[in-house]
Amino acid sequence: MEKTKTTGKAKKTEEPELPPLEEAVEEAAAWKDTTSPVNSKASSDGRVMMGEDIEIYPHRRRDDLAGHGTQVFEAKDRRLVGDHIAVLCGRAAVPRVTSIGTYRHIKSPNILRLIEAGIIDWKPENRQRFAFIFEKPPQKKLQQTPEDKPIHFAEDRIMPALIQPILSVLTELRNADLVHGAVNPQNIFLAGFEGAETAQLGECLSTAPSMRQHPLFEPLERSMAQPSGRGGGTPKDDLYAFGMCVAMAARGQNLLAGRSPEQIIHDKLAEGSYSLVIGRERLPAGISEFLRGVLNDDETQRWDIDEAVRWLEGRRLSPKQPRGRLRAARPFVFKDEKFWDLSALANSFALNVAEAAVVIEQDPFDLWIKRNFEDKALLKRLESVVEKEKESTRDRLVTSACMALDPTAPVRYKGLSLFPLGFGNALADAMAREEDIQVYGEIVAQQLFNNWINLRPDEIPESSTISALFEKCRNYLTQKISGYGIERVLYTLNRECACMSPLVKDYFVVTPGSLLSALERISRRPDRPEHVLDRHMVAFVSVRESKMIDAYLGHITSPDPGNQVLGIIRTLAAIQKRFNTGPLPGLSAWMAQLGATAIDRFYDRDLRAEIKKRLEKVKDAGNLTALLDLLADARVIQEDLQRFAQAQIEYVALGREKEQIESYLSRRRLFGYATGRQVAMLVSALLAVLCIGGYLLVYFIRGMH
Amino acid sequence: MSDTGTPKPGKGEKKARLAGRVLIFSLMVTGVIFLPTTAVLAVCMAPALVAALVDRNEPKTAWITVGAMNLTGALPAVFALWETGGRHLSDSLQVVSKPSVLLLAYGCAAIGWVIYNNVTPLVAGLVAGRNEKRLRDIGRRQKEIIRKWGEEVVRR
Repeated sequence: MEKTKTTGKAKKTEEPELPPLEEAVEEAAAWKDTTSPVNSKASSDGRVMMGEDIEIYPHRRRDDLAGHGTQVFEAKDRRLVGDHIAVLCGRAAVPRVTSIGTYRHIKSPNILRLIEAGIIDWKPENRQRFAFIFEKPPQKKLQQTPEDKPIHFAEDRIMPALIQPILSVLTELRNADLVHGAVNPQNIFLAGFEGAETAQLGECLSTAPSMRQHPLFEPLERSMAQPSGRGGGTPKDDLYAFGMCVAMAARGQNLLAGRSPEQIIHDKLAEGSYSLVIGRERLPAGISEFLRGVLNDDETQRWDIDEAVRWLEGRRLSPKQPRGRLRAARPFVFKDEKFWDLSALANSFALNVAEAAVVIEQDPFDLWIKRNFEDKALLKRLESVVEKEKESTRDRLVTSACMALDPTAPVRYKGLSLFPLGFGNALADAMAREEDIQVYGEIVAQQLFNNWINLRPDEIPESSTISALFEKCRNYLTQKISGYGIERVLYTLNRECACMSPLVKDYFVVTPGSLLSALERISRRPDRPEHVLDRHMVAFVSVRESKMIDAYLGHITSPDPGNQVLGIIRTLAAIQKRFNTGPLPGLSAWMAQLGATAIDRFYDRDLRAEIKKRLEKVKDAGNLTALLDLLADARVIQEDLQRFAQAQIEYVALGREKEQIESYLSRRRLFGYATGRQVAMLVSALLAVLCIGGYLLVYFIRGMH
Repeated sequence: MSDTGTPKPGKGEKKARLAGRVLIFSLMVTGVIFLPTTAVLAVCMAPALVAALVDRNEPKTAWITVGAMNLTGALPAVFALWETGGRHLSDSLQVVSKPSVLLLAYGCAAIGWVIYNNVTPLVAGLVAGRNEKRLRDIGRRQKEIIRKWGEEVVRR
C-alpha cells in the first residue's frame, strides 16, 4: 500500500514540464518572410504582377526571343521608361541564378540590361517560374531565325556596328569573370536606323552556358559534346562564337543552312573552323586576320580577348598557325568512309560503337596506327587502353579507345557526349526531362572522367580538383541511403541546379528556404504525399546547406518512423530558423500529423495525450521549432525513460508481492493462525496479569484490615 | 565431529542450554524445598501441562495461553495453602481436595482454551482479509501501470 501511494505522489511531482505555448506563437509571428517567391498576383485582365511595379502580359508572347525551355512575354516596369520583356525559366533550363549579381554590374549599353529577377507564381500555368525582367531588345536581330540569312555588313560598317560594341561587352564580361555562353546571331540585336545600327548582345542568364548554342558556335572539341554537357566554357569560347557571327555577317551567308549539327562537326574536323566559315570567299584582310585568330582550332593558339582588342586598336599581330593535326599518309576505311584524321575517326567510332569495338581489336587498325603515326605517346596510350579494357564491355572499350585517339574530345559513352565540367548540367537536364539517368551513374562509377584526365597529353587546369570531386561522387553512388546516390552527385556537380524532386516540379526551389515555401504550399493540397523529404530534397539540402541536415541524416534514414519524422522536423525547423521563412502553419500541421508516430516514442500514455493536445495548439502557429520542442525535448524524453524504468521495476515488485500473498492465501487454513495464536497468547497473558494483579491487591488490602 | 554431519553448536547456544539446565535444576531444588506448594500447583496446573502436550502447532503457544489463565485460577489455592502454614503435604491434600479450588483453577484454564480457540481464528481472518485487500490493490496498480506505460512495461 505504501508503495502505491509513493508512486502516485511521484507521478504528480515527476510529470515532465512541457515548454510554454505562448513563446512559440509570438516567435513565429515575429519572423519576416524573405525566401518565399516574389509577391506576384494575377490581375483581372490577365496581367501577372511581379512585386508592385512590374506587369507581365501573358497574352503577349515573344516566341522569337524564347530559347531552350524558356518562355518570353512582354512586360513593363512602371518605374522605368520603355518596354521590357520577361524571360520565364523552368528548372530544366538551369538558369544562372548565381550570376545575376555579376550580370547586373555590367553597365555596358551593348548588352541587354537586367531590371529584376526572382521566383514568381505564374498564374496562367499555376506554377512557379524563375523570371528575368530585361529591357526589351531591338526588333532586328543579326539573324532572325536559324533558317534566315544573316544581315550582311559591309567592311566599313562591320567594325563600328558589330565588332566594336560586342567586343567591348565581351571584355567587360571577361573582367567580371562571367562567360556569356550564348553568343550567336539570334542573340545579337541591332539597334538604330538602317545603315547606322549598333549591335547589342542578348541575355545569357536564362539557361546554363552553351545550352542553346548550335555546334557551329562552339570550338571544335566543345561542338562534339551535347549542348547540356559542354560545361561553363571560357572567354575564348565566347570570342570563337562571336567570330562565327562576324563571319556570317561579313559573308551575309547562313552557315547553318543545309547542314545538320553532325555535318558541321564533320566539316570542322575535315576542314577546320576557319576554312569552314570562309569557304572559297575572299574577305577583307582585316576581318580575315581577326577570324583566323579567333577561330583557330588550336585553343592554345586561339586569340584571347586582349589580342582581339589589340587587333581592334589597329596593332598588327603575327598570325598564329594551328598546331599541325596528325594526319595519316594512307586512309583508314571504316564504314565505307576514308579517315586520315584521328579526331574524325574517333568521332565516327563513337557514333558506331558495335562496328568500332570489332575494328579496334583487329590487326589492320593496329597496323594502320603504327605505320601512319609516329607518335609514341599515342601508341602507348592506345595500347594500354586496349589492353586494359580487353575484358570490359563494348561501350567502355570504344569510349576508352576514343579518349586515347582524341584526348581533347569529350567523353562519349552510350550516346552521351560530355566534358567533366558539363556533367552536372547534363544530368540536371536529363532529370528535368525525366530521361533515363542510369548511364550518368555508370560514367561516374566507371571513373571515365578520371581516365579522360589521365589520358590527356596536356595538363588541364584544376585537374586534381576535378578528379577528387568525381572520386567523391563515386563514393556517393555506392551509398544507397537517402541524401546520397545520383541525387547528391547532381547537386554536388551543379551548384545552380534547382531541386529536381518530382514533388516540387511545379515550384522553383533554389535554396532550402524556398523548399520550405514550396512544402508549405504542398501541405495545403488535399493530395499531399505521405512523405515530406524525398531523396532529392535530402540531397539538395545536404549539399546546399549541410549544417541544416547532416546532423539529422541518421534520423531521416532511420527505419523507425518516429525517428524519421523527428529527423525531418529537426531539418525543417533548422531551415526555418536559418532562412527566416516566417510562420508555416500548413507545414506545421502536416508535421504535427506525421508527428503522431514520434509521440508514440514516449512511453507515458498521459504524456502522449498531453503532447497531442499541445500539438493541436502549436501547429497553427507555424513554428516548427516549437513543434520540435514538444516532440523532442531531451529532458522530457529522458524523464519519460527513467519513469518508465521505474514503472517496470514497480510492476515486477508488485508481481512478486502478489505471488507471495497468493501463496499465503492458498494455504488459507494455516495463513494467519500463527499470528492469531500469538495474539491469543498475549490476550491471555494480559488478562492473567490483570486478574492476578487485582487478586493480589484485594488479598493484601483484606489482610491489612 | 564434522564427519557426523551435525553442525557444532555455537557459543550462544551452549550458554542457553546451560542456562536452561541451571533453571530446571533451580526449579527442582525450589520445588523440593517448597514441596506442599509444588504439590498444589502440580494438581491445579494440570490443564496447562495437558495443553503443552496436545499442542501440535508451531509456535507452541497453547500452554502459555491456557497456562496464564490456569495460573490465575490456581493462585487462590496457593494463597490458601500458605495461610494454613503449608509445611506438610497433608495441608496440600486438604487444599486440593476442595472442589471449589479445582473448579476455579480448571475453570480459568477453560477460559484460556476459549481465548486460544476464538482469538486465533479471529486474528487469522483479519490477517487474511487485509492481504486480500492488498491483492486487489496490487491488481489495480498493475492495471494502472499498464494503462499508463503500455504492455511493454511488462516485458523486460
